[in-house]
Amino acid sequence: MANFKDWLKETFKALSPARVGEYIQESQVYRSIFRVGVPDSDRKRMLVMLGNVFLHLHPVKVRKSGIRMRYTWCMGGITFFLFLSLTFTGLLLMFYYRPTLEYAYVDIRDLREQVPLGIMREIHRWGAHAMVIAVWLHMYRVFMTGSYKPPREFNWNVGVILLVLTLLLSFTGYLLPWDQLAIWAITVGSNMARATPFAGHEGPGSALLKLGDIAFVNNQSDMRFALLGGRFVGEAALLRFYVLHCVGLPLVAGFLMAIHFWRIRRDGGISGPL
Amino acid sequence: MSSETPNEGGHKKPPIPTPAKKIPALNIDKRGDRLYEVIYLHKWFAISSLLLFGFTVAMVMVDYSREWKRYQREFVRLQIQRTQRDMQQVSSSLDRAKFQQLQQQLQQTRAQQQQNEAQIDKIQKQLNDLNAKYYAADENYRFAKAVYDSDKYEYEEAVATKRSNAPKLAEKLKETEKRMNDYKAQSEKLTLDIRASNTELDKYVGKRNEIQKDMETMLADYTRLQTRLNTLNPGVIVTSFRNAPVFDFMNPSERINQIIVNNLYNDQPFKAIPRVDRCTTCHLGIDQKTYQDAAQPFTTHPNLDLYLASSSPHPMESFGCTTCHAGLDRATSFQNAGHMPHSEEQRKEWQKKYNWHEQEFLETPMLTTNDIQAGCYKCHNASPEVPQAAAFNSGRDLIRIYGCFGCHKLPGYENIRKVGPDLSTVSGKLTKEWVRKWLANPKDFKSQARMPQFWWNSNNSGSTGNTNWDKRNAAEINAIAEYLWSKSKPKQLPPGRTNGNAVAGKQIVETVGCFGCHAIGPIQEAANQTQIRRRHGFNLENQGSKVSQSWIYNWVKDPTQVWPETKMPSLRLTDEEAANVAAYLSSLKNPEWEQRPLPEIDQAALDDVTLELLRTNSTDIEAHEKLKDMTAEQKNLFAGERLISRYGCFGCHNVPGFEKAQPIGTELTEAGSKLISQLDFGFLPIEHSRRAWYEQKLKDPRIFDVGRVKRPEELLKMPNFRFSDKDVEAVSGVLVSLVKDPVPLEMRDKTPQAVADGRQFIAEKNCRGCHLIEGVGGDIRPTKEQAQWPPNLNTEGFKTQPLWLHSFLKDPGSVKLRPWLTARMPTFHFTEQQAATIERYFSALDRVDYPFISTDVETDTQRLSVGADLFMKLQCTSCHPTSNAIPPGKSPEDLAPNLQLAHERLRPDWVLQWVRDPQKIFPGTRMPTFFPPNDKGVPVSPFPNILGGDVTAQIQAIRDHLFITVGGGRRAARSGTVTK
Amino acid sequence: MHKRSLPLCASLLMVALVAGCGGGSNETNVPPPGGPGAPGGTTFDMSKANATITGKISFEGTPPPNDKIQMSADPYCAQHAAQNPTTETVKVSDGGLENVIVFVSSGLSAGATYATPTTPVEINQENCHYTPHVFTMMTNQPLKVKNSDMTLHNIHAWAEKNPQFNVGQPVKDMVSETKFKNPEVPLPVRCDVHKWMGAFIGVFDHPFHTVSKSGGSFELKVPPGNYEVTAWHEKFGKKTMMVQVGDNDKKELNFSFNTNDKGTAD
Repeated sequence: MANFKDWLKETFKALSPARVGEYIQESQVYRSIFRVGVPDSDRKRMLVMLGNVFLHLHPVKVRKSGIRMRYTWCMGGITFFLFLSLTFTGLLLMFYYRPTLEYAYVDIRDLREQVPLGIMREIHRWGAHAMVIAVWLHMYRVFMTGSYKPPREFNWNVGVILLVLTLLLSFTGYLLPWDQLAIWAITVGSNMARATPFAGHEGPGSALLKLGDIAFVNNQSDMRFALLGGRFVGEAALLRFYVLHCVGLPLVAGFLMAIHFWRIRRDGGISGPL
Repeated sequence: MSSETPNEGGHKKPPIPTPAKKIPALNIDKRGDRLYEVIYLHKWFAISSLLLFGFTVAMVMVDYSREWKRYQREFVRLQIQRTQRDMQQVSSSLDRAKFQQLQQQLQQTRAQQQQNEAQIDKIQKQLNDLNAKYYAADENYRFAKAVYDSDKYEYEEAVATKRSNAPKLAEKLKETEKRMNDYKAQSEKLTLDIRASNTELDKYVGKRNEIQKDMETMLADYTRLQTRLNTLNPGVIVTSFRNAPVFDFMNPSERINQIIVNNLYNDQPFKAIPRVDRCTTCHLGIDQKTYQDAAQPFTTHPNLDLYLASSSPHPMESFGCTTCHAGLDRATSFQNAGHMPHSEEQRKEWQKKYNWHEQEFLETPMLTTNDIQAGCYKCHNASPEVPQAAAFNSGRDLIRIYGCFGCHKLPGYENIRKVGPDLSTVSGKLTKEWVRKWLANPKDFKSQARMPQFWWNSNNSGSTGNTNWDKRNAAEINAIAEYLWSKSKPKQLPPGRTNGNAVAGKQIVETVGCFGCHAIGPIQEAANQTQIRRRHGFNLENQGSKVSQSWIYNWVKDPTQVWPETKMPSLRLTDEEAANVAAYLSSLKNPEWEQRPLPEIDQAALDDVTLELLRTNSTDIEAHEKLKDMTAEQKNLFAGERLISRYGCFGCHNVPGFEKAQPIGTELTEAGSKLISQLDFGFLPIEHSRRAWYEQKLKDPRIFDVGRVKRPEELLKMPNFRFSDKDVEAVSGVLVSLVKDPVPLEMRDKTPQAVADGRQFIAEKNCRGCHLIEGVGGDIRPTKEQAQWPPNLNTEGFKTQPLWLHSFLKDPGSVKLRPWLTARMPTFHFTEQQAATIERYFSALDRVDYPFISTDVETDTQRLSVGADLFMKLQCTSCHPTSNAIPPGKSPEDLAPNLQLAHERLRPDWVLQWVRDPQKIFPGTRMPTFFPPNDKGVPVSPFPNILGGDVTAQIQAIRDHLFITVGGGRRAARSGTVTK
Repeated sequence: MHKRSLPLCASLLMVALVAGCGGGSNETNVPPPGGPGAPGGTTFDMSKANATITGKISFEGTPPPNDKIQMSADPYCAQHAAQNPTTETVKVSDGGLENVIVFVSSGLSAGATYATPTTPVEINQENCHYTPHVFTMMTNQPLKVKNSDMTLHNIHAWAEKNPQFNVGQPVKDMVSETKFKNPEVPLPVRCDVHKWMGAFIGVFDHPFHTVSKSGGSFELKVPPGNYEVTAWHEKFGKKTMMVQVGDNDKKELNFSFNTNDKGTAD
């Protein structure tokens, strides 16, 4: 009997979480994945941050000033978070949405009402509105705090381009539900393109670009046509906007975002004194 | 540190601003080298994560709780309830005594079995052994056979290609064959052994198996229901797991049901998209017979054998639901599907129960339950009527009678003559004073006038702004009258007799058949139908105050003489009869009307009208100039012509000078799909739906102008027909049915062309005013007693011989078939083409040959004599005469058709069916059934000794006698059975 | 990982798994004793109908004469019906109106069912008249129609709530049988060959009906209750009265018709 009690005690001790933890942490599998081990010293912390592909985007140490909300309002971070969430929900939506005339509207409707977790569509839409607001606030903040001044002027330009890309993403995404609001909004928006100087067939200067009677900038070859893929908002516009919205613009925006964030680190981190 | 970072760009560094305030240190002893106290952060982190988690869970739950799931759960509960109830019933009707007996027997056999335990074991082991051996032997056999087959192939090939090793291969083949057969013998022997063993085993356990099987059979129903119950209700945990978020991808019990209907499309801008009907997600019991008493939404669809069943003409898998009912196909909630309430009470109920509200942007709201027939037309548009859709058909009849198609383009009404009388001869019929009073308000003259009212409506009465409508309307009416008179070229008619007897005339009018198309005054007779067809001809009230007696005489004597395009046929009235009728109709007067004075013509009003009309295509100054030069007569003629053009009188009437004019009304071909935003509701607080707008428009077309400021030429022009509410409902139902949904040819109704043409034709000629055709019509019946009703034309194609029918239609007066009828079949002066249309229609309806049929009857002398005997025994002649003379003592009402005419009038096969069961062909007929069915439904003859009681043979004999002996019809040329 | 939480989680999981493995048993036992047998109430026990309503249907004034029949078309009828050459529309004896259907039109307990009598009711066509001229029966009770004449009669039921039928009877003494499924009063029956022949049937789904006999007298046996009783005559229309009877009660109910009463459109 006594042996049995002892044996029990021994087994429990061997199975205690601490011992199990130790065992795991010394195994080869574990060590091949987590090279540094638990970051319990500053040196270890630095090694983890520098050695991990995801974490090395962050600086190892962050200044006190960098975590002060009242300076940055975290707008840039929120914008990026929204971008990620939009990418994720957008990807999920791509499983159900078909950019054709027959299906665009009904697919959105089905997403809202039929598809389980079709609330992704709502999240995506609201997130899009929130991202546009956040990105404007971010720009406002950067301006107000003078963070565009040298050496940060190139980053400011990249940021402006990102702003334009965000607005373009919003514009292209707006057409995709293919309801009255979408079609007419894009019609009005794209109609502006035809009044562009030189590049639009109703703009000033386009009449000058012709050889005799042959007009080179006409309603089949001006910027508006390029944007819509046609002379009116129809099948071609829908497909074109879908590709831009899901592939083209996000790729370019991602690329520029990488530059944007790298520049921030290089220029001394977030919200440091100038 | 930041101040020591090298500066890129080489600018002078600005001084570091010192903050005015130092950032308060938050418990620095607690936070160590962190900015914030970690516990403090932990707390807020925990709270925000919990909140985020909570919101996510709430979001997923809200997303997952859908309305339709609730209904599905309710339905499952209903099914469980019913299954349990059925189980109770089954168990109560179970014969318990028998069951217990079986149980006891089972116990006994079990006991017996135990005694023989050892024996059974032995046999079982033997069996297992044998089975194993058999498996091996069988396998050997199969392999051997495979080898044999391949050897055979090689041998045959060798022989075919004449190879040298053929004999050797033959040897080999023989060996293989022998081996194969050996194995087969082995396995066969083993089979027999196994069988023997099984039989032995059966001796011991057989009884038990039997008893068990009996018990199972007894419990079969119960077990089935129990299994069903288990499937429906596997327990709360299982159900909630399989329907939980994320896990419901595997095998959910709550799922959306949909029917994808491929070739009936939804019409969307630029595209036709296939329908995906999700109605059955909530309407779960709709195609099952047993839910007739369940509450909505589980109630069974009415008429399952006509709709939804796979054997019906509208199976659910091919048609879906929204094809007929409209509504939003892909929606799965009560509101989104577009359910529309059929009454105010239901609307209030829905607002309370389901929070229902109107949907302004839904282009195809569901048809309400009392409007459902509007969904039929888009497929059933080959013929002008839809079978079994009485409300819809009455709407189409109304449109045909009131002539809506004269101004509005409508499908199915092409090439119909305009409904109003010819105005090119108006001066020969009416007086100018009468016309002026009539145009002011036709219903003042006779309450059932079909002519609508153009003046003194909601937008041209009283005075508005500068216009005094009384004066203006009077001026307009006078101008039109003047114009018509100036262009009228009346026909020269002989003078009519005016010395008739009005009392005799009344009698004639009420009996000869006028009431099949006409009525005098509002229709009083209690009607089973809508009595629409008696509006086909103009109402005859107050005729005496309208036309002269001699005109009426000429008209009723021969209508086509007066107006060649008239629809009215000739009743073959003699001169005397016509004079009496004319006298009677002339006596119907409206003295109040006659004494009414005509309004004065205000010259200023006439000037205003003329000026306004002149201004439409010249400037103001030129118009004034022209006006100054015009005399009153010129003004009238000018204004009259332009006003007729504006109001579109030529839509209903033949107006000289407007033969080629285009109708002025909106095209209504797609009225059912008209965008609601394109309908002008004015300032009226009515429901924003198409139907509500159409109903309001029909009730008072110009009411949408009330409260608007409009110039006279901008005012709404549609006249007011003063429809009753019922008529308005019917007509707007037709309008709502005219949708533009594309329906491919294979989904349309497949009425044969002959039937469609026939229906169109009989509608134009109003045959149904007197006759019952396809079960509908006979509007004259309430004015007569049953003995006087014109015949029911059911099975007319199968019944009559085409040649006879043709000669009858061309000249009905020559046939004295039913001398007791006071009503006369009129002479329509059909062309050959028209008569053939009718005959082809009847024949196509009954699917019989047309026009060449054989009327030969094959028979023999014996049958003829039997027929004669039966004819006498059944006493046919107590009602049927066999000559043209009326038998003594009988009055015409007691008679049945003359049988002498049968052989040239009736088709021989029809007579067989008729004599067998007259009530089936003409329900309510006075011809009795002589061969009533017994309990099993088999007809029994009252003469069981004749021809062995064979009903079919007896009826045939009677028919033969009728055709050959009574009628003198030809006997078949090749009758090999003619015996002497 | 806290040491305490692991065993706790494990035990919770075990409990959940065990509980989830519930489900139906799979024994083929005898089903539990079932519920009540036939749905609805039981057949009414006629011994409970112990209250009596008697009365007289009186006729005031001189009864109008019945129409004379023109029978020359059928010599058989002209001969045999010579004693009875009028229709039988109005039959008055001792100041009482006969051939009036008296029945309970409302007040019976809803849902009660009454046994259908199996004895058939007979109607006979003799001497070119229907005998009886007016009678009552229950739904699904067999009706036997006999033709005692040597001429063709047909029995044509002009029913509205029941299917119409029209059966010819050319042979003497032949009998046709039929029944009515739905209650209907009155159900006129005519012969198409002899237009004057007519009878009226009252078909009910309860047994509380009768026809007034000579002197206009009638008697109804009903269970205790509060009833509306209707008297119907083919020419003079119908009249209703209310009556309340207790157990073993005897009440008198008198109706009165006169020449001015008119039947409504039946």
